[in-house]
Amino acid sequence: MAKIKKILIANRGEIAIRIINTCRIKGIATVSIYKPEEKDYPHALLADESICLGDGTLAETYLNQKLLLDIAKKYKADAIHPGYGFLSENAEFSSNVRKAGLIFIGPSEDSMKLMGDKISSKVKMEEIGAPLIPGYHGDNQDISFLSNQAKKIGFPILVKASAGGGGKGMRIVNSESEFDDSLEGAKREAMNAFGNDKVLIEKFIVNPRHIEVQVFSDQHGNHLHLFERECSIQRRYQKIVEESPSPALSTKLRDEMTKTAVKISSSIDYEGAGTIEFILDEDGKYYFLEMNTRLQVEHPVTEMVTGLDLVDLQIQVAEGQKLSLKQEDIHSRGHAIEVRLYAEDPDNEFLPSIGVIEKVGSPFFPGARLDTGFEDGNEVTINFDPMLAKLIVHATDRSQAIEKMKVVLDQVPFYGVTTNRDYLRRILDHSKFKDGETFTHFVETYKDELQKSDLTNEDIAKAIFVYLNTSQSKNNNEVTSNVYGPWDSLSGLRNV
Amino acid sequence: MKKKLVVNNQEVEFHLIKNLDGEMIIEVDNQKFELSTLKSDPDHFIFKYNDKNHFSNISPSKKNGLIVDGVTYTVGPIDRSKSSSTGSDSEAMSSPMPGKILKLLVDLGATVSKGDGLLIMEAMKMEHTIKASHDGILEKFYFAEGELVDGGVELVGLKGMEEA
Repeated sequence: MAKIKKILIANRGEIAIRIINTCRIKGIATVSIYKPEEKDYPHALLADESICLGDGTLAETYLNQKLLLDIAKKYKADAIHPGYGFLSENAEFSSNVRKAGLIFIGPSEDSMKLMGDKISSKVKMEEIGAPLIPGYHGDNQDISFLSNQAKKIGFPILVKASAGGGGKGMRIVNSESEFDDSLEGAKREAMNAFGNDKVLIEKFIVNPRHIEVQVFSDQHGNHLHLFERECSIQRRYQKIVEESPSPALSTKLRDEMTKTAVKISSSIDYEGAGTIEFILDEDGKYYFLEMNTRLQVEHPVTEMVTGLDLVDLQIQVAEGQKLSLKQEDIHSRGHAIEVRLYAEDPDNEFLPSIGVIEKVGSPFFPGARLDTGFEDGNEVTINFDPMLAKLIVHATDRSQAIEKMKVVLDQVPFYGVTTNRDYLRRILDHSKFKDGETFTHFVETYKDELQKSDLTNEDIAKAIFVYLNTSQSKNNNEVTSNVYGPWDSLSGLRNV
Repeated sequence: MKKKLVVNNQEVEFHLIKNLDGEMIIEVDNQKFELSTLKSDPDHFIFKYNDKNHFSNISPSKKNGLIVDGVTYTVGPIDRSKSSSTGSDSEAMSSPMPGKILKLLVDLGATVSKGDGLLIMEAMKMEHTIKASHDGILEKFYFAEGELVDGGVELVGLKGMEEA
């Protein structure tokens, strides 16, 4: 059994910091990497050593396998943690890391290959009897053939990139007439994002929920689950609110779904942290969607309800340790919610925004956690993912978790960039969200209700009041001259 | 005396009827609001309105907004240097941020309706469709497919039906 002493983190931002934090308390040294423009970002500052990757595209830096392996060797790291995104689900990379004599903190190359491809994973799932959505997952990519398959399945259907993730290369097609254009768009996006334009099509499920089960396996055949997360609230096919437990699951259904998940992880002889994603329909039927063979963005939700440190468990498993936990030792307590703060404009189709962060803020409330890769003064550019932070809360029950999130959201303003903060708050305040009626089309269905409401006179008076009464100096003359110009001072009104 | 400020990009007129020791009476649209400061420090600003405590905070520079009762507002003086001729129509068909033109969706000279997709651009690895802000005839694309564009630049020339 190999004890890990130093980890190279092949990632950036909040997830790099997340990994550094666990390494710190385990006494494991860390090496982080960054591009020159990121030299003031916290992930470049908090590790024991940080190495500049130099200028260049992502392919030349964060995705440059040879460069990463050279750094690992030069700085004597004995393991590489890939985080999520980037090379985390790249089977070739995991194999190269192992060939170089290092530990890859993640599953085997074979598991990644099998589950990383949406088509091969479904073939395997069929074999072991996991429930699947009707669709065409084959190799024939001819447009008219796919169009015929779509007709056979029946509209609405979904077109998805075979190599995809994060909603890139995905389209809903409502009728035959839209099919050709949507297919072309999906293929183009898939080609740009993944270098592979192969797609699959399947039945589109009405009122679906996205429910995923966190699984954990060691190298000794122990396969556990850490309960579910519901991640139905999505925009542009990306999750923005995640929670555990799901308000939609009965004890019986939870039992079935977690058992199915463990059956899947054990049947592929999985190792490490993984997530089995399911779609749950209105009738309580669930279907396997995909497996993510890495740590998930929303893993803190599971950490909050189980009290476990998933990065710690990943490292233990990678070292070859046996999971000391038994399934019956793992309990879910209370309710956890995560929201993802993005630099984007919800009032303008969620277009990404850029700017310099004047103030991040910090949550001060028991049971609240902020995972972010930014600090005051950092610039948000178009070069990286627009996610600013994850804010996570834990409370006794769902309704208290919702209210707690509203409080701490006000403490994390990210002043300086346009964010989805207010939008997230409006979601939390929506009666359907409070009732747990969370479907993956929530954002689309309640589009109008989730929009910013018009300014009332009261809003205006309150905003003006705060503005006029808060200034760096408490000098009223300065306030008024800033606001109106020197010819129009308010000081004469002081005695009115 | 009438005062003006910009709140959320909207010019707002108000009267300041009282302004004494952190207490104000602000009149907006003939409605009077009486507010008083409870606590002001760099992280919080707490005030009383309608017998209730309200919580807020403001960006340190004051330029990047403020949050009152959970809602973000931007408040600032009227910027007289800004030209008012830039309507939202022309802005809507500018590039929202730096990116790449992926695909032009309509032919030059085509008649388009408000909301029609005119071109697709890619920014931050996501596709964005730039839509027609009004009915009109497509006169010009300023960029070709594959070209890189800066943020805020005009992308299409759309001649409006009504202004013709």
